[in-house]
Amino acid sequence: MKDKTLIFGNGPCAHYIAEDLLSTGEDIVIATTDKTCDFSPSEHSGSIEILTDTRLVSCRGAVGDFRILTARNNKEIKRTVAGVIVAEEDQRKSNFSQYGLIGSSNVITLSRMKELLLDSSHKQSIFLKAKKVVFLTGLVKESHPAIAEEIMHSALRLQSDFNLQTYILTANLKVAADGLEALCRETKEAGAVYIKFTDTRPEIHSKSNDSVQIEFVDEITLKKFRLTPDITVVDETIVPSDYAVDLAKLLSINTDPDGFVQADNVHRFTVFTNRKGIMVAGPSRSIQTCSDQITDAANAALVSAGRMADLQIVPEDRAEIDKGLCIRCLTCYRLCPYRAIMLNTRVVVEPHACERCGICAAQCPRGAIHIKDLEPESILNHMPKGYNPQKEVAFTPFIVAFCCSRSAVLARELSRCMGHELPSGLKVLEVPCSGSISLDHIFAAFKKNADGVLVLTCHEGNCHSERGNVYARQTVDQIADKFPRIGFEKDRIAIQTLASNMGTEFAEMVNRFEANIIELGPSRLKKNQ
Amino acid sequence: MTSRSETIDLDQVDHGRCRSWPFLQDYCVTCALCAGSCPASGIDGFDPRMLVRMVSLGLVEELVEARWPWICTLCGKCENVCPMEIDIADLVRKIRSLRDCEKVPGILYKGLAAALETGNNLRLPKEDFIFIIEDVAEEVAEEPGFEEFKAPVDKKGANLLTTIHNKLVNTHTEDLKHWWKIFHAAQEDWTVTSENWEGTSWGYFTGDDAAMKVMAGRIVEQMEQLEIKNLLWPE
Repeated sequence: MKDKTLIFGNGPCAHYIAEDLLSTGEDIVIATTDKTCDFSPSEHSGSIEILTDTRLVSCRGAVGDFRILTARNNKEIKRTVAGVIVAEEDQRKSNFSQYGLIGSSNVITLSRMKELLLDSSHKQSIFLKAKKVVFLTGLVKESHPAIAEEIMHSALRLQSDFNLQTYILTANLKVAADGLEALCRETKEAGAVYIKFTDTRPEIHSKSNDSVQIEFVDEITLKKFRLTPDITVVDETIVPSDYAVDLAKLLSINTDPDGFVQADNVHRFTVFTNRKGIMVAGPSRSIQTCSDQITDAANAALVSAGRMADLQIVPEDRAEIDKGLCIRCLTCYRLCPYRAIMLNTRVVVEPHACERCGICAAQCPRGAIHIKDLEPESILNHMPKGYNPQKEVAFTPFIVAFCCSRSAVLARELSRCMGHELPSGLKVLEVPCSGSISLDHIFAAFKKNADGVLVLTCHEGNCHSERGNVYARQTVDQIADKFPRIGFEKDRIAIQTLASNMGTEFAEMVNRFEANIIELGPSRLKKNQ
Repeated sequence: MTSRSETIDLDQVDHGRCRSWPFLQDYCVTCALCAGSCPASGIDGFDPRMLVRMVSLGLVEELVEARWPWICTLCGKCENVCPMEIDIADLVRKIRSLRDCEKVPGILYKGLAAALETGNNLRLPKEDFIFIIEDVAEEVAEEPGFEEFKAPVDKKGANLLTTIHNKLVNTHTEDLKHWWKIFHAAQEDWTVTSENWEGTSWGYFTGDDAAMKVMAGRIVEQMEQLEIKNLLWPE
């Protein structure tokens, strides 16, 4: 039996993904809270099941074997799927209150305007009586290209099909999306008037008879204008749907500051989450225009279809928990950014979900977690052998730099290519994530004659493992704090952040660190050897 | 410009009235590169961006009456930097053209009317013109090396026809000599016409395209009559 993909959602984006996967022969399950689903795929080779009126209760397991429990009217529905795609719609909040307005028949939301333009029966009543339509957007809070696009499309229709005079009152006009500058031009050709506010804002008065009067100074001509629109259209704020927010919690997916189901982390682009096998596409992950959604849907389907090949290989270098040492404190379960730690009768690692960041191994208070080639000993085996400080005429410090493979290692390569001179006693030890560096790693380096230890890692917020660099900083700070108490200089250890394109900065960092160490002289541990 | 405190009711404004103009003023993104590049920016508060915006909004009367369009030197730096390729200088000419001819500043309108009527801005009669040309030619011939010099008038089949700016037969006759000496040294086969010799076309400055067409048409006509292929039109 083939492995299925579960799609949460019932909007255009979810349907695009379903269509795409079915056409490539994938089996899918669509789960939606809606009572009905009108998805009807064209010719396809995959199988399809649609679960309507269904909410997720829990999700156990990992990529390749997600055990999904959903409920419909308290009745349980269980499915096992290989992958999950969250493609729920967004929701919109009207911004009436931002502008001191109250919704009425002639003060309407942008969504309402879109409905009116789609519904032919409404045209007669409202548009035939009107002359002037005002759109208010981004005047209190920043707007978004998706909103700007809808406003411009609406204005274009009103100008060309209904011969109405439209005014778009805006702060920053958001045209940074495909085709929007051209669309803006089209609306201007059709006669839409843009009034842009930078330093001032229009005064919006709501009259007793539901009419609106707007007074403003045009910032270009410096003239005062009075505008009495027949219809006032107020923009909206787009937020993730309540169900999408619930899904994020139930699926343990990190969200962005606005609650969208994708952390604000460059490594998640475009449709990835912190969990392998769980994708997020369309309005669930950010505010999107229609064309963004189509791109997202195609990306999600593409990644989803390629997942099976990955699952054929069982990785051998993943974290393993020594059941004799483990005391089930659940530190690993709590800290794993990828949800690769499973709680069964004992705590185990799901190898397919593990990304080998090493955070669990570094943080385990019992030292019960091991990752092949990432132990302090095995890493330090890479150190130069037979290093004898007595032979050195001048003092050349031996510097161990633990470098994150995603940033510092690449920055070092760049630094070399750019021809920067690096300290001759520099030894770079590559780690998959700085979160894998434990106290033991650092002590081992000093024991092996290091005069200084430098940890170089990604900028905060850019860590593939979300907080690996934060844990590394805590580890380094902890040691630096204790060093003076044992008569050891705290400047022998440091942590710095950089990005993969910072070759020059890499050279500056290691050379400055070397200079500091030269000033301190050889490590006391080394002298006592 | 009108007082800034006066509130304009947008019910009374027709934004579409200038939409048929071909200058693309509605595409303005108010970036102000025009204002930044304009050598006349700030004179009497002149601001090309404000001018473009007023036309786009349909507030034209005010501009027609204002001094602004006549402050512009029509140098075209503004449209050179405009990212939306708005023809600002032509837009200014269009506004100038809407002004009553009686209210056109300086001698621009009078000179143009004279040119249309008599063939030159000075209403200079043909005999007087020929007298001046011959007189200046004699002065040139008195100079060493130019003894043979003659100024050919209405010479059929010449290689080059040159027009004359009216001031060269008025206050600046010395300047005629410079041109002619060059022609002489270059052994150019050149001529001037006894009628419609005017090289300036003040319709350009008043925005009167029809007048410009008449002036240019006369030059073409003469070239055809005298069978001349090349034109030198210093202006």
